Amino acid sequence: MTVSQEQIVSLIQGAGVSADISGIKGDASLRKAGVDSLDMMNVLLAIEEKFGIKIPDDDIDDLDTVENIVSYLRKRGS
Amino acid sequence: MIGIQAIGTYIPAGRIDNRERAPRFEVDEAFLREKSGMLRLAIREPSEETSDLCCKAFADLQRKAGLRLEQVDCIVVCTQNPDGRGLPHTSAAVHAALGLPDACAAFDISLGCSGFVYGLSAIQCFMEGNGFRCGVLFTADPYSKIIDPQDKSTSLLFGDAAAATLISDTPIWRTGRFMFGSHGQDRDAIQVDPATGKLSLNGRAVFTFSATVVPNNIKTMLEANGLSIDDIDYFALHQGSRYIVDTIRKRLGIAEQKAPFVAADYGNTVCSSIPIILSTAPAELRRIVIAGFGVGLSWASSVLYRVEQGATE
Repeated sequence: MTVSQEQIVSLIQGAGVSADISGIKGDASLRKAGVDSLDMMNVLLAIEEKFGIKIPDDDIDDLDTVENIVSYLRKRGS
Repeated sequence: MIGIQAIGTYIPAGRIDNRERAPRFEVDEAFLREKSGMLRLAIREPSEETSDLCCKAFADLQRKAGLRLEQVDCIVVCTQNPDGRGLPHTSAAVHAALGLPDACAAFDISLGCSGFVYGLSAIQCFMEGNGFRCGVLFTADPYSKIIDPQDKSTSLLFGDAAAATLISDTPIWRTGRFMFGSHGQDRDAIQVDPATGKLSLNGRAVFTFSATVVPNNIKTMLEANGLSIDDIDYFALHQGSRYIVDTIRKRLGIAEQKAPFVAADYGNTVCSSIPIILSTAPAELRRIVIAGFGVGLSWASSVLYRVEQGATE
């Protein structure tokens, strides 16, 4: 099954981030939406655990939008 | 039976107020309060050496336990920020400053945030193996020696403190089985940068390690002790940050009051964080999990069982 934006939003919310991202657009910056650096660590861990991958530190800067996360996961075969 | 009889602590009166420094690091008070958790950091006087912190914790221990110097068979100091450059060992300086007997063994252990749990097992085994009745485990790791005040990832977290834990054959806490572990391949995640001599910390690596390895270690340790999460009255988790404590707590399904974050007023005191919590543990607590994790990367946990008065096991 191909990963969807809705799935990623749900995953981010399930990671317990403080910010309300329920209506976030796919191309909106998560950081600007209030997902701080600590919450982002939790989001990345949730993605790694859900999809069974390791996300290198070098890839993190690009994962600031839901669209980018989806695109990244598809490239990684999810 | 060897176990913990009493714990003395020393948290320096000096404080760094993170709320005043927050704008410089582009964080707000809400982030300090709800995420890092550290509002103020305890800071030693510049003249206070690591051994001085130990001696002040020992003075508190003497007030609490009425300990006489001639009773002490051994002392162990857990630190990675020793007096001078670590040679001679800091425990020798403590031995001299306290005027302990010649027959008192003294040695250091090099570990960070897991150090209290490792040290507790080490000193108990050392004492039992040699027939000792009275020893003191010191924890004192003043990170103010190695913090770069401009480094956002470290300078808002660590505080100075020390603890002196009396181990004796008349304990109020005995330990269950311990579970230890190491990820030596990830040791660079927390290190003194050889180029700068200052602490560097890979926050994401440490968070991922803490969120994944530590809960599993605690579960495994509880199983080894024939216990479940519900059997435990309190979880004394190393106080790395509020976020890490909360993450571990949530992943284990523990209520907040059973595993609180308590270091807001003094910071992450490394190997002293757990004994500081234990030093004020209410008498009604019967079983406490202790879990330390950090530099190495290393981790360790065990259960403390309150010893009934007059129990001989």
